[in-house]
This record gives sequence, structure tokens and C-alpha cells, in this order.
Amino acid sequence: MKTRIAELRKQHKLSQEELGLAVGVTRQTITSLEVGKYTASLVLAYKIAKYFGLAIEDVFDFSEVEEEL
Amino acid sequence: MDKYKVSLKNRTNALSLVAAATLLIYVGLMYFQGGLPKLPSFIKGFHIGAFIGVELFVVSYLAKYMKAAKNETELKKLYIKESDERSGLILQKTATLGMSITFVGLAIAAIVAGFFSSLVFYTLLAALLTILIMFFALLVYFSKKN
Repeated sequence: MKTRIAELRKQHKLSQEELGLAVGVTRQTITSLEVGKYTASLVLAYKIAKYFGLAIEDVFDFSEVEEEL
Repeated sequence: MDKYKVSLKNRTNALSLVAAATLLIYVGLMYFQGGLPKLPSFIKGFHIGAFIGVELFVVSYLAKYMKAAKNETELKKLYIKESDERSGLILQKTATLGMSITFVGLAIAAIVAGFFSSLVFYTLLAALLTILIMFFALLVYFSKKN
């Protein structure tokens, strides 16, 4: 799944490690999310969106999911 | 994080107990060695290796837990490492595939061994049945839990 995590992280001048610590996951998980290899759970998506002060759909791209429906 | 601190303390106590029990069992077995059957050197070596392995494992985890208990950042890092959802998924997928390979491998090995040795056949069959029973017991447990 495509996300805006890398872009938002750079805007907020955060490292992957710092974002991981803030939302309770490892740096490797943030990397996987950024490159689209891993899809976050609902709880993690909520935490990340909340951290950036955005809605989940503003951070995660659900267009592929919508095509499946 | 307080809950996790308590959990680490419990783990530290349990590991200390394991280390002490392993040491006691090993020393006891060494002491009463005369009354035990003579073992091939490979098995003796395996016993020593297993003993050293358990002790090293326990000591390394004790050191990790003690270090984390003293420092809040280290504690959070350890908690994140243990509760990371992607790592959990990787472990889950690995365990599922590993289990399937073990089932099939043991079943094939038992069938092949049946042509050569009944002892090996029954041993492999017992191992397969034990794993299957454990698997289904856990499946029922987690199905009810989730």
C-alpha cells in the first residue's frame, strides 16, 4: 500500500527511528511501510495519522482497496 | 510501561530459576554419573553443549533485561522490539510455513523409515502425532481466545 509517511516524516524533520519510537514500532517497520512492502494494522495506521494530525486516508492511499470493492 | 516492567521482573526471576535448576540438574547428573548407563562421547558432548547453551542463553537475556530495567529509553526500545507488529507477522508466517514443512517432512520420513526400521517408524510417528495434537490443541485455544 502506498503511503505519505516518508513525505510527512521529512516535512516534520523526523528520522525513521524517531517516528518508530513515537508510534511504537521498529525502524524496519517504518521502512517497510514507506516502500509499500508492509500494510499497517488499523491501530498503527491510526497512531501514525494521529501523530501527524491527519486522518488515516490522508496518510494511507486506499485507491487499490477501493478498486477491489 | 509499568506492566512491561513487572513482566520483565517476572521473566528475570523465571530465568534465574531456570539457570539455577539447569545447574543443579547438571551437577546432580555429574555427581551420580556412576549409576547412569555409559554414554557414547557424542551424547556426553551434546549434554555439555546443551548445558552451556542454556546457561549462556539465560545470562544473555538476564543482562538484556537488567540493562533495560535501569534505563527508560532502553526499556521502551526493548518493548517496541518485542511488540512490533511487523515482526509478529513475520514470526507468524514463518511458524505457519515451518509447521507445514515439519508435518509433511515427518510424514514422508515415517513412511520411508517404515520400509527399513519399525523402531524409527514408530519414533517418527510418535513425534508427528505429538506435534499434531499440540497444533490442534493450540488451534482450539486460540480460536476460542480470539
